[in-house]
Amino acid sequence: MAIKDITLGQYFPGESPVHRLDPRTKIIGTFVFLISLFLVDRFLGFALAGSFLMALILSSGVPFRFLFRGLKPILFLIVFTMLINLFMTSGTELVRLGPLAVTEEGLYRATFMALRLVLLIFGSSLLTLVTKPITLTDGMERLMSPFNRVGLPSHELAMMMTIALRFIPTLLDETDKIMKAQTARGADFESGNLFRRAKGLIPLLVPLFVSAFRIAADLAMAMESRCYRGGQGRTRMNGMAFGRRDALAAGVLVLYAAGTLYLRSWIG
Amino acid sequence: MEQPIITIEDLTFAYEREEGGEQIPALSHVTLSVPAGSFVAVIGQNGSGKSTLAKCLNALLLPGGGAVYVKGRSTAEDAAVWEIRKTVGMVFQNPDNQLVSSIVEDDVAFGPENLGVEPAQIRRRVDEALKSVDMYEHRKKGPHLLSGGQKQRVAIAGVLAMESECIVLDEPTAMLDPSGRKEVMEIIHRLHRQGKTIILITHFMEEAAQADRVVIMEKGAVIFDGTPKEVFTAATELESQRLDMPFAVEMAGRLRKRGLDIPRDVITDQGLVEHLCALK
Repeated sequence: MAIKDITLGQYFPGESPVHRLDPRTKIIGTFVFLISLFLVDRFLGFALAGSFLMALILSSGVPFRFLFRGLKPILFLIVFTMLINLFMTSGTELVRLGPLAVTEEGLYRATFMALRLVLLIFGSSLLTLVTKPITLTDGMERLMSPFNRVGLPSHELAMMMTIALRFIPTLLDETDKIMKAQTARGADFESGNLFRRAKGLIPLLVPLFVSAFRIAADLAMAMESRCYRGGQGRTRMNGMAFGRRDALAAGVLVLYAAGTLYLRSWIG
Repeated sequence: MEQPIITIEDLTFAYEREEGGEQIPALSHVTLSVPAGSFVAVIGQNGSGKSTLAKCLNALLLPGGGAVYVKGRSTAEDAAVWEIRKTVGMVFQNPDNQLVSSIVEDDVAFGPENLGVEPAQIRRRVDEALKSVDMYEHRKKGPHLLSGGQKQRVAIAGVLAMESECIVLDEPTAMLDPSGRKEVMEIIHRLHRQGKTIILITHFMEEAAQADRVVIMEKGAVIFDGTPKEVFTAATELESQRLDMPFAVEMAGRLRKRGLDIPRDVITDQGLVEHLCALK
């Protein structure tokens, strides 16, 4: 059962004001924040972005180690970007290591890029940490619905996400079962070189695909028998409504955006 | 007499094999009528056509020959499909493969949402449905954290929230452990008492014995249609169909052979106990 116990997504349960914002507010807010990071052109801008994010993190009650967890997979990218910037930028030389020179401009740009990447990751992780995946999906559906007219299937996309989220544990369970069944029949998933191991996955993947298709057929029938006929004429039990909290958040967001623009050289 | 909720007239159905277009017959000349408020068990071996019959009842499959009427409207009529699916709710065998959402209450809301019911009304129906299957306290959980029996109860709640008058359960207990099986059967009985029409497809004789009426199918045809007592009284004929008899019926039969006087209409454990105690 171990494989089933993994947590889904990275939602950190809580009842903080940030948790309770409308998902649409949070999605828009995250977008504004991410865009603002690309407009920043001096350290003072990052100071503003950083303290804005810090205030959000503190009021959400999400422990910092959860945010750092999101950093791990791209740590290599950050270090790589830093090194490239550090050594490849021409300008006033600070230190020389053989053919490589660290320049003042290089140091500046390396720190700049690293800060931007870290804030990007923290900002987007915070969204998924304080919003349930299913709520996030609902929010996206609402935000995308105006684009239905130009042919964006917002309901279908959201339904796909909902079903994917629902069936991740089921498929993990299925994987676990097939692995055990195949191991009992002498399959070996753990030894050998990369090529051997990849080949060893065939007896796992083939039955898994078969069962995924079977599940899909069953589910389609169950959905049809519950009168599912696409997004047309469908209502939702949990309506979404912007509250006073969301208005306040919008105000703060506007102030933040104005601050970022003000600090940018071509305005400030 | 009131119009039956479901009328099946000379229904024939065949699956088509994809390559070659070969026809595999699944139902042949089935005629049945189900009065509103009744509890019918359909029993038969694998491949007897009982699941195909279930899918014909709410237009998931359309008749190849003959017709199925739900409250007087034919399932072959395009305009009636949604009305029919709303009237006849389905619960399937696999508890995992019929729940749509990763939150129990959202899943129960799926049916009424599809029907375009007002949000406040959906809320009321979902709460009521979850309470009537005793799953209200689990409403915020994910289905993957529930037992099989609990998942089936959620699936039943999903049908109740659509306010279906008739519930077709296609082997709802086949994949459950004994305690889950018991939970689900209790709920089915409760719903029947509340006036729902129940059609229970099963291969457990014990479950069929609890219905008002038992329909036995073999090779796509109805070979017996009567009350549970009539079925088990005709036991010898049925044993040739290789259907497992409920424990009480088999026990009574063996005791009869040993010379004990037990009437043939004893079919439940309770009835058997009463008769055995009366013997002394």
